[in-house]
Amino acid sequence: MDETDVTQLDAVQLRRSIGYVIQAVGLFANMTVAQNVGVVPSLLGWNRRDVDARVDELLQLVGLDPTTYRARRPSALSGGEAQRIGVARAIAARPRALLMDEPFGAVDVVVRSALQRELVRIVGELHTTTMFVTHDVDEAFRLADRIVVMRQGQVEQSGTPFELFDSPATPYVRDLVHAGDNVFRRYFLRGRELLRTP
Amino acid sequence: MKYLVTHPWRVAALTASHVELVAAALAVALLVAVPLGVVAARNPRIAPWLLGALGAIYTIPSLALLAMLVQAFGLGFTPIFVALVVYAQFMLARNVAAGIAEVDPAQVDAARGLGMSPAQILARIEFPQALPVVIGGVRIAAIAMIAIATLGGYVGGVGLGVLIFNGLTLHQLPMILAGSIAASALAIAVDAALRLAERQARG
Repeated sequence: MDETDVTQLDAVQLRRSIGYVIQAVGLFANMTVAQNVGVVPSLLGWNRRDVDARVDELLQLVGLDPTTYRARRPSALSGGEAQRIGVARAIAARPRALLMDEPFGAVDVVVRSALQRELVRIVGELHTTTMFVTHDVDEAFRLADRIVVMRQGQVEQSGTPFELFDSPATPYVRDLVHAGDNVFRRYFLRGRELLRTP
Repeated sequence: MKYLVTHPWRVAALTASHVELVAAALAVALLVAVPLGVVAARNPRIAPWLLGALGAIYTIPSLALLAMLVQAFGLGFTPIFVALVVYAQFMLARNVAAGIAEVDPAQVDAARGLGMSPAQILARIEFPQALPVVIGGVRIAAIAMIAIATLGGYVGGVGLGVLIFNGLTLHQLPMILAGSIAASALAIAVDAALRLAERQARG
């Protein structure tokens, strides 16, 4: 990462420079929303005023009103709200990379697509390299610039969504990308491809 | 009740020494039990052995344990103090371990992923959330300790047990009653206070 060999770095320090979002969200139940969002900046020793300002900025970024949500407990949030806070917490200290492990697996379809749209917007604003782990092929097609297909710890294929769909390298990748609504995917992916190439 | 009315200052002084004994023993017991509980919560394989051993000590009749401790330390404050510390271990360590084990694993995973050190995870995530359960253990331990501490009157001349055992020797029922009532009132008051603390900690 940034030309440094991550295996040479201290694990705790490295983790503080990577945003981390998991399916179970894992908001800290003993802290308020504001304390949750501010946890990494606090660990990094930011002063209180900077942390507070950053928390408000982030709550606005994920579409939650700071005055309403700052003092709330995680137990008083819906699943979608909780995951927005989870994303805000992960990007609080301006991480150099964002790691999301099936972040939207536990919310319903409507909330999920709203969160996906917002994620695209947020990541676009942040310009942060994001690694997104998912089992949902359409989710991968919708969000990714590049997809790496893994099977039993081995890389099957790596490429743009359209490359994967158009020329799958292995039978496994073909089965994976062609299971589901192919007609829709073809139009969707060709459209994305056209938008991408200037 | 007669003795309580005629000797209020003596009862008050012995109540104070009772509180002092239990509070000191509880403080030291916590210093030992919190690390033991953390070890038990971290190592599910050794937890049953550790808690089992503490549970076995807990089943030794208090008078028998005290007799052994008097052999070791002589009469006075020390044997009853040590007995209380040892007795409390089971109740305290068990609740510390249970409280930490109850914390949502996803929160611990998230804390680690965000870059908290193991010590920070314990201090900021696990221990605060285990606190109500820990206070529950302190409450149960404190009540048991207040009862057992009356034996301090027998071996050390400390606490409200002095009234009970002197009353027995002198055939003075009012004296026995005064000691018993004061000890019970103390236990009830401590129970109520710690219940309140437990509820506060739950938020």
